[in-house]
Amino acid sequence: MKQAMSEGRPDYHKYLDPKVLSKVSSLELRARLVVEGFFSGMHHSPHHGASVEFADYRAYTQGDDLRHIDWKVYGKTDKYYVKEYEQETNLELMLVVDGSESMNYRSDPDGLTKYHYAVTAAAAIAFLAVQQQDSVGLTLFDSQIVQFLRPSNAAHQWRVLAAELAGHKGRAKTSIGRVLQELTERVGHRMLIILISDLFDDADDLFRGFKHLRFRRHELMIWNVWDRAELTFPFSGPTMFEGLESTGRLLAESRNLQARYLDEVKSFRNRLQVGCGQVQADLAFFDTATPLDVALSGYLSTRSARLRQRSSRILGGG
Amino acid sequence: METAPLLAIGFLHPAIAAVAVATGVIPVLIHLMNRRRFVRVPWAAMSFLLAARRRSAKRVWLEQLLLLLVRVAILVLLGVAIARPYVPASARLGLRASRVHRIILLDNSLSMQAISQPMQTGVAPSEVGSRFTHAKGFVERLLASLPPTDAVSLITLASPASAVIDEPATDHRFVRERVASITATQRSTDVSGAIERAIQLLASSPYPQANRVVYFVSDFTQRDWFDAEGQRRGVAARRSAPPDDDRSRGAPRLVQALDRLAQALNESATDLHLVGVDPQARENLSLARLGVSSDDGAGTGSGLVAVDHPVRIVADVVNHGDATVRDATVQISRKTDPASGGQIIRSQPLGAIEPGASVTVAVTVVFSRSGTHLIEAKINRSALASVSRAGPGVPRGDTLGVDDERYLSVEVREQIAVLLVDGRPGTTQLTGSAGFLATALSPLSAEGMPSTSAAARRASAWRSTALIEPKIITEPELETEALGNYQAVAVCNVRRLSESTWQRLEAFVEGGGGLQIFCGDAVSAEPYNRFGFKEGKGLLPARLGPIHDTTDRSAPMDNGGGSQDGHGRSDIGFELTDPPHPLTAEFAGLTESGLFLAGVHRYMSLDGVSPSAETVLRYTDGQPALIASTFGKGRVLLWTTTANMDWTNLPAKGDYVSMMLAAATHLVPLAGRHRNVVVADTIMEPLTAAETSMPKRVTAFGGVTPVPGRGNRPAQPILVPVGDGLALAYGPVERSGALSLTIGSRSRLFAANVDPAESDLRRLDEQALADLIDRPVHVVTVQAQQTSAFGRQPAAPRSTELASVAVYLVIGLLLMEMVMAMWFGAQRARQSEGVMARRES
Repeated sequence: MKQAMSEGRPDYHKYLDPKVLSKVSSLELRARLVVEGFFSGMHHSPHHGASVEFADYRAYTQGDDLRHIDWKVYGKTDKYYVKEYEQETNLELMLVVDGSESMNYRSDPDGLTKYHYAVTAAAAIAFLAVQQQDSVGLTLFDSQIVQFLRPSNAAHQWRVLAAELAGHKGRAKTSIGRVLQELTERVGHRMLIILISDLFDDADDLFRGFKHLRFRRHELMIWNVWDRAELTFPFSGPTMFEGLESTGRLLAESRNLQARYLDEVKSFRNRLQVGCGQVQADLAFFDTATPLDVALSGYLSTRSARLRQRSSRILGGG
Repeated sequence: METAPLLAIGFLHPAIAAVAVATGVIPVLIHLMNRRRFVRVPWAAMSFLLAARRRSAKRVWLEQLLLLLVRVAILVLLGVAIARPYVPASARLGLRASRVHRIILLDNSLSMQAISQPMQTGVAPSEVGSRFTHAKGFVERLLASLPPTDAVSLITLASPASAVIDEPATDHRFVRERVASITATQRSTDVSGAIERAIQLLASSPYPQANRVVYFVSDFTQRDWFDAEGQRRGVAARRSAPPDDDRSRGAPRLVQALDRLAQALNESATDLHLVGVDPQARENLSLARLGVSSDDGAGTGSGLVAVDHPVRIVADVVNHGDATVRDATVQISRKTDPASGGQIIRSQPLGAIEPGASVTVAVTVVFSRSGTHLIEAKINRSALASVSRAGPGVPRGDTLGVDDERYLSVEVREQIAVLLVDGRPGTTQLTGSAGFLATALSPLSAEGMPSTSAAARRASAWRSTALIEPKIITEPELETEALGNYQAVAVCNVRRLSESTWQRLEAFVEGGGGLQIFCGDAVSAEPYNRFGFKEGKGLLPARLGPIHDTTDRSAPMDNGGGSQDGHGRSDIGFELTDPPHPLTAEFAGLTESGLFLAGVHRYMSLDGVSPSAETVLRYTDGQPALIASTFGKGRVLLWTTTANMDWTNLPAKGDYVSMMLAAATHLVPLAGRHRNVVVADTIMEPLTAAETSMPKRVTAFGGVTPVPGRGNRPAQPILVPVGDGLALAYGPVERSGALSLTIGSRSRLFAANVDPAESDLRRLDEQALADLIDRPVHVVTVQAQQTSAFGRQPAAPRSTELASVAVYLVIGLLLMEMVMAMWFGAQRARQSEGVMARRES
């Protein structure tokens, strides 16, 4: 019976593979497919999740809403108890997506560019968030913020967000540090900020931006997107490297540079890890060949952890 | 020898060395081309790449530079190894010397047979030998002093020069055997050929350039190197003239050979040793010539030799030495039997012959039968008892005996047959076009001729004998007449000759016959020019033009010579060229002679004269009257006037006979000239068709056979094709002497003589030797009693070849390149793998 059911449904799981996704041109469809694929292997659907669940009882205190008194318990114990629910309050999520020129790189003509990978992940997260009644906003930037959508859980928010992401053509340099500082000024109350970028910017500026966000008590998730070639440097022979953000050109014997280059990349990632650890930001590395469920599960685990943290605060506060 | 600079390196093949250096650019070019053939990659993570470049640039640059240098060195050294580098002896720094190629040119010509005389009494007789003995002694001593690793090539100078050992031989025993087997010959010296051989050996020598030495062992007689005044001037011109000067280009063969030798020696840095042997042996008295002369003075060797007709035999004796020779006797004998000594027909004491002077001995001989006859002349050496001393140390006696004898083969004809073609025959002989000519060639009487004329003198000598037998035919008869039966043909006032007749005449003259052409009213110029002149390629030496009438009032009058007849016609006359041609030289100065009194009132003008033709006689208006030329082996004379009285009254003059006889003498070849050969020539006797199948036998006509054969096998005559027929070849002749060739029952005698140029033993002095070749040379003189060559050790460069060193270096560098490339590659791979592993972990 179960097998028959699975045979009757399309295999959405394959859409987690970036190579398959790259053949889907519509970002909306791509994001939906990712989410479908992500949940196709799970036991419960996000569409049936309750937003209000019973958690515990506590004694009635003055000022409590009488509607919350459990009269059945009063009948049995002759004491007023108030039902306490674990209610999922609206999560405010800000997706900060790097739309600079360096994100347009892809080494595999059949694969996704770093930008496409980033926006697919962002749209999928946004779709998921909207489905869970979370508010989701968007900050699209290159050297400055080019698009800013305040978080909202309106039904059309996701479509607007997806359209903005799909319509952007990155042709400018990156200036993440400055953008994060500006973003800090724009968003007042705390929220979960997911920064999706290759982070090809000055490390000190980056950390300065992270610190600003954390200072305003925002949750910060950093998804560092790489192309596979940027991590392996698979070139050989004389190669003319032409920098994407007007970073110049370099003619070199690739094999001679490989070891040093990989050393530099490794050093940068180590520094990122240390820096993010210092500001308590979650750092995750992706390459454009990594299936997107990793990103989604990372987000969901972070979300649930955050909600648990909040509920414990609610309970603790009671 | 110029001193080479320290550490100078030479190359056997400099061109390859230059190419090798150029190939060093190849790796650099490949590197640059690779840099141009790059792949373009758009790249985002540029900052990491730039940082990596900053960190690794210096090390990578160093690695690449090292690899590039090694690769360049490999290519350059490989090319250098092929170019065969060497270090000259003067620049050698303790390296082991390599082998030396010694090319020995040994003169074994006739002059090397001159016998040395002891300079002082008390010298052992064994030390008195020929120049050749001393030369061989020098070579043997040289061989004995050579290191066993040295290689030797050997060239002999006797004509034609040949390489006895052309491949460099390191087996000195073999070389000594070959040297011992070389004998002195009676041949002349082929200096040019020997130089060419030496140049070839130098060019093909596998030894380092500075490790080659050429030894020229000769007596260096002046005649060998400057055998003509022109050649001496050629050398002088070459020295003084710029390289592109015409005089340098026109230098004779020997000068050109010397130039090439100097160039080859300079290019290969080869040492040249000129080893002159026995400068003291130079006194020599020789018989320079033995020949037939129809006249006392001219000595042209006419072919007018016939039975019962007196013939003058002349012999020239030359004193080549520095001392006056007295009381020598020349003996001329006529040999009829190989076993006997012959009939002495003249024995004449020569009297005193000054140094450089010559004496001619003449004798008149009348041959009573036709066929070949042998005349022998020799200087009676027993008469050379007294030679005046020119100073202390001058040897006594005649040092070269071979040239004291000469032989002469004379062919005596029954008669000289001349064919006269009459283009307008008359009713009597003298009214025809050829009648006067026939009468002149066969005068029965000299009566009526002026007693003072040269014609009278000449005619009287021929009076009683019918030396020349003229036969007159008409133009149509010429078509079927066999020209081979005649020695000369005269065409007189013939209107035209067919093309086939011209071709037959061409073959006749080319084979040695004589042709005389007279003009006249009947002659049509156009066919003569078309088939005879053929734009300078035919028999006629000039293109015939229109007939010129000297009575034409418009024609310029000449007041020199000529006459005016009773009809008031103004004729022009004949005059000699300046200088006079030998054919008419006897008339020079005889202004009252009939030749100059004769008048001409018509002649055929000439539109163009062949460049090779020469004017013998001309009219007083400057136009040519008689033109001479050669065609093949024969001669041609063209008269622009008539042979009879039609256009000129010359036939009425006595000098006409003399002129026609002189013309016949000029035209008729000496029969049997080919039976007088020079040593080294091969005897060639043309055979008739019948003779080819007859038995043939060659024997020595007294004494030793001039053709010794090879080893114990006597030489055999062989049949060879010559032209359309066959000839008997026998030789080459190695010695002077006489031979008898019997074909069937008929015998022919051959005479072989040495080259008279070899008799002049005067040697070039030291300065002239040094100046022979336009480069520094070692001049060595080997005295008769000298026992060592160059003292103890022969001077020679000993350079070291570096090709093997270069090859080892190439192999080493190849290994180094491989190791370096692997090491650098492995280092990079290790670094990459390490980084990847750390990243993945």
